[in-house]
Amino acid sequence: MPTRRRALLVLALLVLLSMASLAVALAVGSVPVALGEVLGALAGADTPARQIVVDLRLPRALAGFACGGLLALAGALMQVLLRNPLADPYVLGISGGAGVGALGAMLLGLAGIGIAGFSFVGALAAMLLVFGLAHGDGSWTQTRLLLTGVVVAAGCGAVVALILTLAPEQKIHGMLFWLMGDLSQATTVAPTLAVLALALAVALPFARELNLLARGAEQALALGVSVPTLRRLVYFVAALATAAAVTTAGSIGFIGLIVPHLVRLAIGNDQRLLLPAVVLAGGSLLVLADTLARTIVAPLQLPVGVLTALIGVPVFLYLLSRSAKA
Amino acid sequence: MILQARALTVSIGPHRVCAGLDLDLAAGERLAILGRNGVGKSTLLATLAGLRAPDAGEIRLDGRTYAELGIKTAARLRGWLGQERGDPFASTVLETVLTGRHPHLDRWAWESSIDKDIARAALQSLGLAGMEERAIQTLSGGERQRAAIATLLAQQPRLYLLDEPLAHLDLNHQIATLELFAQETRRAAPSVSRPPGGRTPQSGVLGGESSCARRESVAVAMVLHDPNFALRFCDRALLLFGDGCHVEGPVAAVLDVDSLSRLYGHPLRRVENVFIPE
Repeated sequence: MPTRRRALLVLALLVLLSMASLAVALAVGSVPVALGEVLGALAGADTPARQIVVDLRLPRALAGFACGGLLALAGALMQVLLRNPLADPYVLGISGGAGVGALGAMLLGLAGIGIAGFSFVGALAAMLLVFGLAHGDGSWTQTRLLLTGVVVAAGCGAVVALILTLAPEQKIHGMLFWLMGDLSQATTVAPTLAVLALALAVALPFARELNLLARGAEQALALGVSVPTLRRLVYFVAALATAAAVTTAGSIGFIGLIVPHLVRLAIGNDQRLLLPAVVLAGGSLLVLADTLARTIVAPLQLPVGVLTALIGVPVFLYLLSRSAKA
Repeated sequence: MILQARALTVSIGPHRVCAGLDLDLAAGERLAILGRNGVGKSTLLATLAGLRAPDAGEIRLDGRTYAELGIKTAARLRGWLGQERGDPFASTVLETVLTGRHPHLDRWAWESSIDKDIARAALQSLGLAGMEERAIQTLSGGERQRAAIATLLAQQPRLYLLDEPLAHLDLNHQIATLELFAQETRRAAPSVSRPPGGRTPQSGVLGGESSCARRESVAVAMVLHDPNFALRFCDRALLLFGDGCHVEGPVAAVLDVDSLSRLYGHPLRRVENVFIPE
């Protein structure tokens, strides 16, 4: 059980990690920029590096941070809501819905804001569909919600496969990039950051109640938690966080599954500390992964989702075999 | 009267658990709920705990209905021990027991050293002292059951609703647990009203002698499977026969060979010469 002081210490360290990861993301690339110049450019100095740092790298780094934070937060919330350590933000079909929307938009020849709009609508549609089918009064069982979500996700997967089959050759590449998760298209970051701040602000006051919910709905109810209301709240916060992240950067995998587990191993499962910590850790991890994705085979850019999965799969398998022994 | 039920009718699907049940439980009283498997003992207990709505009738806790009390105030008045023990995520024994303090804490408050003392005292009274930092998932079934009871003690309710409190416990701890709740209720000290939402400083959960007088006396209703325990550790018994009929009254009056034989659908005999754990 972390004390409040230890919690603040952990969060301070994670804030430092986040700033360091952002600094690396701004400094590293095909044109290396010295750290001093980065700070100067951020402060408004009119140096030659200013365009690279402020106009090109900063939006992408911030978008990566916001998406990583959103996905990790949504993952942590979903794991509590479903009382299942293997849950992730995509388990309830939200990314599937977003995928159908985004690929549909690409098929229609839309770009940029059109794709984002369609994918957000798709994510919301999947969210409401699952919520409605699982008896959305909060009285659902975890199994019912999980099964509904998995089946809707499978349905969306089929539609995505259908669109990929029907799409003309030249559009396939963009579609695959979107599906694997890609931050290079992220330009407007303010809404994503705003959703991140909002989601955290809504979830944090209920953190101790989430601790109880994770231990079982009936016991939580007996200890004074309004379980149906809390479940609906958690569902919508997690779903909106996922929708915002997926709309910004496609379905980046494994952040939402891995980061809550990594943070839990380090600091325990008190949601009061876990929720802000996963936001900072998830954001940092995605920023670093994206920096790698655009530098290791430069000038070629890898989809960041491939990197997070390549890092995530072994880490997760390791954790799983470790917890099986414990 | 801590718990009052009036004309209570409870069903699970088509199965009638009880109809027109009137129940009064005063401070200091212990009620045993007996009946065969599947007769609806847990359902009735959950109904009394306000966790599910009755088909008809009214339940009052300290004179007020659950709707009037609100969910958080109710949690300070009554504690409920369920049968399910599932912790999908790792946590320590102390963290688990501290969850019992939730209804006493404000939204932004963290558990204070007083809360931790209460939790430690609860663990100690269940014989789990020294296990505070153990992972809850590494405990045996009986130890987890005792940790759950300790959580309930840390909640400091005035009404304990216990669903099979003796599950997984060995003989020694069965008796110890029953003794524990007997002590809690025997304390017929004049009730000292707590400020609503406030915390009274106490030396321990079950308290030393010094804290006895400051504690409000409590009532207990528990689902048991051994009529001998009911006879020895409870004042009253509620027998659920499974056909919607029930009998309720002082243990000496309702626990006899005929009613128990009918209750369990198995002939019973009363003997003196048996091994009874002392």
